Amino acid sequence: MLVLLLFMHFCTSRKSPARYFYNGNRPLVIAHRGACGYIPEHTLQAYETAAYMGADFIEPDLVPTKDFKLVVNHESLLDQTTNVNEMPQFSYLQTTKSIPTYEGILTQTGWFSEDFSLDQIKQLKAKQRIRTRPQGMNLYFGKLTIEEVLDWVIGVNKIRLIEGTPLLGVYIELKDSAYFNSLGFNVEDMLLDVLKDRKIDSIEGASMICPIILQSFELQSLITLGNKTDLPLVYLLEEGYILHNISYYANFVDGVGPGFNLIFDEKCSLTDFVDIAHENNLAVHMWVVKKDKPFCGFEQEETYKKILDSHVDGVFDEFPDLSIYYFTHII
Amino acid sequence: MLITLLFSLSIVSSRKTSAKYFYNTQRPLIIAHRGASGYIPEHTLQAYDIASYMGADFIEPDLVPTKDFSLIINHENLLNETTNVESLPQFCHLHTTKTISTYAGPVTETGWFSEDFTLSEIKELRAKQRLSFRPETLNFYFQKITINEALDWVINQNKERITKNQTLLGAYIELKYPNYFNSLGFDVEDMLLKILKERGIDNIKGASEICPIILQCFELESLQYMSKKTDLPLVYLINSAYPVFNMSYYADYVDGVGPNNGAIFTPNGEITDFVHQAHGYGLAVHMWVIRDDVPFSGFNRPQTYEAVLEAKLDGIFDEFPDSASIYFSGST
Repeated sequence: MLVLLLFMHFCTSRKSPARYFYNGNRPLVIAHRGACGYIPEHTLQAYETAAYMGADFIEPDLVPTKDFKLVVNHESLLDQTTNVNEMPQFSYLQTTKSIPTYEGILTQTGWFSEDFSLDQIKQLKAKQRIRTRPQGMNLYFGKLTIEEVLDWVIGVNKIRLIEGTPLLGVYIELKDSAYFNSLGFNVEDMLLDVLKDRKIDSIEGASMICPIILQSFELQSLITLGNKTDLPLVYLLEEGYILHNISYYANFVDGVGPGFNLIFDEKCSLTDFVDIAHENNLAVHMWVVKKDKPFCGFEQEETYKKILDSHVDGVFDEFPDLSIYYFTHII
Repeated sequence: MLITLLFSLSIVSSRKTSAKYFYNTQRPLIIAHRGASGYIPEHTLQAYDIASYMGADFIEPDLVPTKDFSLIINHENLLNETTNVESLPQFCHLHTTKTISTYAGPVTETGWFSEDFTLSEIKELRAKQRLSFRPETLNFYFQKITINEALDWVINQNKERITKNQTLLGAYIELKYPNYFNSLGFDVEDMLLKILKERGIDNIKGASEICPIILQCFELESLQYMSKKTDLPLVYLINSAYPVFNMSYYADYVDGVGPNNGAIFTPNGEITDFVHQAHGYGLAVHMWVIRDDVPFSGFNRPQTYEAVLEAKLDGIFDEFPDSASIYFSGST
């Protein structure tokens, strides 16, 4: 019986062989939507600045277009991050939709990526979502496809390979996959095709060309991906919307991506989340660190000290220069 | 008698400005060199916006004139290094070679020069990152700006800062090659002073309430000229590679000195006597330039800032103001 339990425990976790999934010295720094604290999110410019700041990964969120392209935006709604509402040629596409998401049904009015062709998306310009952040770069930069992002990273990495510096990685999230698949897309296969074209749909290829991590709020999507690729998988969790036991999902993924209030409770003390995750052989990547909206009201240096004390394995940071500087030099 | 004479000389040796914003007792002033130019194409509103958001005390515009007597912001009158001018066919005819007299001696350059362009022609250009190892995807989006635009932007930022009771953002302005431009018929000091006056910031009192101003220059004569017309703090820039006036001489005319890192630190990281001397004359010392990606004296990032503190520098010009802010303030 003991042997059986022991055997089950070993089976309870994948523990990815991807070396780029782990960093022995400090938490991985994942530039949340790029260096979006400074630059409009999910633009090449936000990613390039993040890379120059030393981030380990840039972090594209993917939604589909009408013509089956995967573009980078945090949600299919385009209002918050582009100038779509100022473009008369798109007035007619404004609509209201109810989308089933991991948070339940979300009803929104506006413009949605799945109603636009890629050519139409390419007419939009990106803007800073948050009004209190720098606004001077609004309406200059375009929206991208995941192909463009990956090709850019692969180009950056060719230089890094020559220089012997660590490769920049891409930490990809498919958004609302169940919903989009119900519309006739097949977002997991669409993504895997793009990765396969670049020979980075496997750990071996990704490690040499462009490290890839796949993340999602929908476990089923990760299970589907897990059947077709050995790339590391991370299951995103938000407090209040937890559907599965860790002992269950630990079978299917290599890491878990909790919101910070799963790591720090309402009194701002450390919970046992990280310990339990580590016992289940899961890496923990916490979201999101924002200098202009500190969690628990911590001072800046304190924020990063608390993160280190918590033993999380990675952080999503909208100001990646800060993570890098604090983890490398200050603390 | 001799003692009294020497004593009175020593008191006269320095202006010691009354501008409170010129001093910070807690830490060195953080002057964003050409904006947050480590990340964003230099001398654009965007580079200044990010610098401000990163916690810099001052943005740092360099001014050169246009043909039609505007003062635009560029590190030099040559436009090749920082804009796409060479790819614009409408400006081919303005390509030329000039020899410019500068503090470093005569400098001969070939390319396009701001004084040959009107402001509306300058506005057709787009800014690019000068250094190829820095991010380049921001190239060719942002326009070049006038000092008027930069100041109006800072003044606007400060309106909000005043409501939130935050320290005001300042502008640390350098007129480039004033001797040369004045010889062409410009009157760059008066051009600048007029723009400051229009905004009520050509004096310490107005500047302190609206937009702190510091004036810097490699040419002492230009600073001496301005000191007759304004009480704004003045900083004399020096490069240890070139001959400069004696400190005992210039200390009478300026409030601070802006040396390069080579004047403060030896190549193996020892501190020279410069700061000590300057402080003896009542001069603030603002050192240029700190660049995360081009370290000096073998220092890494935190070592650089530790050395700045150890050397007792009063301010630093930094192309990565986030690094300086984290180190000196504990936050950005």
